Amino acid sequence: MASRKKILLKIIILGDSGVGKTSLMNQFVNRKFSNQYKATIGADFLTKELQIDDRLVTMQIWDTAGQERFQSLGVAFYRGADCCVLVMDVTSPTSFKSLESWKDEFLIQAGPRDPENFPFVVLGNKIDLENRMISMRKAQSWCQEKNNIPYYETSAKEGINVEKAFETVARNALAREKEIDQQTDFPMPIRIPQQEELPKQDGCAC
Amino acid sequence: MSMQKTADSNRSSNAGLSMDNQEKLLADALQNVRQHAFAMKRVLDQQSVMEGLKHAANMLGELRTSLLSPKNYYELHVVVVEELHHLELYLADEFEHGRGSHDLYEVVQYAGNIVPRLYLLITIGHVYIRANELPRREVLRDLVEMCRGVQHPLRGLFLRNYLLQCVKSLLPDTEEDNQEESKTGTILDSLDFILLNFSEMNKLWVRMQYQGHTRDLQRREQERRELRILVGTNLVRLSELECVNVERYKTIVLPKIMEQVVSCRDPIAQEYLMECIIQVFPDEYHLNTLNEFLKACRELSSNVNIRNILISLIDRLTAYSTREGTQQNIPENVELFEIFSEQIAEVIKSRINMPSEDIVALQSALLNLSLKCYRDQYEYGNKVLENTRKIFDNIASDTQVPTGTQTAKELVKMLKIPIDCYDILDVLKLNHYKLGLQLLSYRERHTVCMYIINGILDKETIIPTAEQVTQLFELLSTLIVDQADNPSEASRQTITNEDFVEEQNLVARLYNNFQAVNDPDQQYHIIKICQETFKNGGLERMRFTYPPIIMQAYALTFRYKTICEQDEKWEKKCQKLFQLCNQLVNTLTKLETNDLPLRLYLQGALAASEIGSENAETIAYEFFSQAYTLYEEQAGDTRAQCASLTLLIGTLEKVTCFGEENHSTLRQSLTQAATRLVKRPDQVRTLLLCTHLFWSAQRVNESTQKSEQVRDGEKVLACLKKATKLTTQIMDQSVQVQLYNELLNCYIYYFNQNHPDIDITVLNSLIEKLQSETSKISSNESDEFIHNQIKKTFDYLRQQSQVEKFQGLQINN
Repeated sequence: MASRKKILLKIIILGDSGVGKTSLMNQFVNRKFSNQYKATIGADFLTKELQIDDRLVTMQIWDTAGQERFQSLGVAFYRGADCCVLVMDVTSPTSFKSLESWKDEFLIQAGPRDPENFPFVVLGNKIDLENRMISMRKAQSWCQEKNNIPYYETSAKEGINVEKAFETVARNALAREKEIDQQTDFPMPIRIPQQEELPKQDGCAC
Repeated sequence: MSMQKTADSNRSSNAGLSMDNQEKLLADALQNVRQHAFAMKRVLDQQSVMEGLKHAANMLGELRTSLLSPKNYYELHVVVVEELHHLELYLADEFEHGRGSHDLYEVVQYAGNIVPRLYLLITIGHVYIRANELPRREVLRDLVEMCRGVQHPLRGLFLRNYLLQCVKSLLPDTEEDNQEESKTGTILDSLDFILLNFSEMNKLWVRMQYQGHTRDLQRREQERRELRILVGTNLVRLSELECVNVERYKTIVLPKIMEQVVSCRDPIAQEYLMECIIQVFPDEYHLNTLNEFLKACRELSSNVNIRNILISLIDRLTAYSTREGTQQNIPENVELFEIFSEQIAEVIKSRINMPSEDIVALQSALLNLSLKCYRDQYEYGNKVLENTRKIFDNIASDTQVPTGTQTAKELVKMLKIPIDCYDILDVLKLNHYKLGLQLLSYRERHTVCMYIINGILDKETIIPTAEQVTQLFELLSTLIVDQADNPSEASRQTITNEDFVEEQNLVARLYNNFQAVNDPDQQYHIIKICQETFKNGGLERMRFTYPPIIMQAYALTFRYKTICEQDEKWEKKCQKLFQLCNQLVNTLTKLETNDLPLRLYLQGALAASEIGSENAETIAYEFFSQAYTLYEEQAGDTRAQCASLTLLIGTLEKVTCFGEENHSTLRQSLTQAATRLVKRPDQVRTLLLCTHLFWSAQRVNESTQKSEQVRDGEKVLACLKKATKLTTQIMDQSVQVQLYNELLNCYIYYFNQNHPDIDITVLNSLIEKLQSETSKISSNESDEFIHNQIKKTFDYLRQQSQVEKFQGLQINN
């Protein structure tokens, strides 16, 4: 199989406006943090290469607008995602409540195979702030209910747990990638099916 | 390189507009893209670059379609770009391993069609710059210039958006004075690049408005709104550059953007881009360019909804100054409030046709800003409320905002802001708040008043002075007195109207928050204010509003009692309070129910007795006799009568301030009343209660002036015997057994109390009677309760039979 090939993992970050999606991405990719708030409009990605065990993977991380009115062209970019990161702000109960609808919305719009086992990772951001409203236990128990989603408490500002969280994101995305690769492991030559949709991450079957 | 014309075959048909057709077109295009992409990746794996580029060009050919709607084109674009990313990764990898070929940037220029050609150029240019193969500055300039070749708005916008995506990490972001950077470019090159791309994209976007039939205008405008995000990405890129500091933003970036925005004269573009500027640049930048921004606002097309832009900016800056966790302050030299209130006044003045709901919405945003950013400067909030009122007075004085209109909704929203930001004591300092409230019609006033009360209750705000209570009542008068503009007022005021009950219960609950801590005289004033206010509300409201006043007044007498040593007039003050209460309860007797005033009278008697002031007996007697009179007048409902009598007996047993004369009158009246009840079981039970009036009840001994228990054993026995006799006359056996049990319990009590005439023989005969009667009744389910009661009695007796006092007790098994 395509073991030599570089692997491209598509990651989508979702969550309410102002929870720190862009900051988390910037902290992970550029190791930078700014206190200045700039709202994200539309969707944009950054890439970062990461070594996972013996594999070099390129993570394409899509940062999205938390406010729906900014996604005027829709969310077609959800398609083909390998992992979805749900972010909330531990000082905002509303952002915690919204996780459920972000998750549902993602599954509807992205339409992944085997949605039951699609990898999500939940991040409780802004733990550097004092006025925390969502306890770790509360967040963890929500994640457990949802088929044991990994949960990390992060601070994009202080850089706490960001690296670790995204490594889990990459690992889970990679695990899924491999699974799908195996499912679509067909020999050459290939007749491309005309009716059925060809899976996106089919890899080359050399 | 030859290009396969895949999309062209469809181009002649004009049927791309229907939904079904769109889905099919998209599906076909995606199918083609996947085929070409698959072929591309296969040949790339075989290290065949030229073949790979050919397949890539074929794939990109799908983007030449004119038939897809913006959303569907976007979906196609996302997939194409993702596939293109594989090509990019491949090329980058080649360079990393020193195998990159150097002429690809030239080679792809021979691609036949311009759209695929430019996508490939951008992709390769991107890789080359990253690999330092080509000079960054020239290539960037080359690319942004060449994109002019695509003038079809939809295709051009997406192409340039792809360019923006690719250059994200390539834009030079260093200061201009750095000599070494001159080859790769400086921040100024990046600004030129983006601003050029921005103005080109904006032109494409605006041009869409004028292409095609006028009958499709609405659809076209919708499509333009969908595409706006592509144009906005330019501004995002600008905001991402670190060298764009406040100074550069103020002197270069903002003026250039504004020039484009103002000169395009297109309302859709102007409205979106202004909003976009507000969102993507940091707050500090806006604070430093407020005048420039607001000046540009005035130059926008008159069709632009300026309200949304201003509100957006105000809300953003308000949120900034109140953001938790960070101590953000509006710089002292930026007079936010003045600037915005002037601007808003200007805008309202210059736009004569501005709908009144928009005016209110603007004032709302301003109010929000002033309350949140300038918490302690009440004059700001007041000013906004005053101005709002004035604007309406100018439109039409003395008329209310009609109910249910958009304007009314906006006004309600506005009036809720102070309630959310402040506690009520601060809201009262906004003396124009009341005038704002008066602009509303009944229904909306009602909504706001309820919101005010709920706010006070939720925040548990204590209102400590009579003056504040007065002001609050002025605000809440909609709930307190009949309203001229509510025609259905009279019919809705009934105890069966749930809304009315809920509303008045809230008003009544409010009373608990009127607390003059450590100042009983102030509390007295509050009580007077409440009485004077609530008396105008009509009897149906008093049912809810008077009881808390009365209870509060009783409570206040206790407070006076505790400070009797500091306040020599305490007895007089208590006397006044009792008089007031008596008067209030008298009013409530006009209600069809007797229960409420009766309880309140009895509570008064108890309070007077507890206070034990000089004339406590007179007061208590007055209250008690009035309660008794109410009882006497009570006709009809036997159950209610029995309940009232029970209350009277219970209260008399607790009141200790009566002399023998009064007490004897009252206890005998109650005992007689017990025998006059209609139902036998009621007679028996109340008589049993009356026994306590002759035993543990207390009255003042005239010689010692001290309270003593009555302890009239003979009378107790007489009551018990009468009760026993009445029990024997009862027909219903299970009720009878139950009453025998209660009798026995009462006898046991007096036996324990060492009543001289009640010994173990008396108990034994009753036990025997109870046991024989019990055996007669069936043990069906409905009687289970009775059996349980009896069992408990016997459990107790068996337990006591060990004690010496109970020797000789006989219980059959």
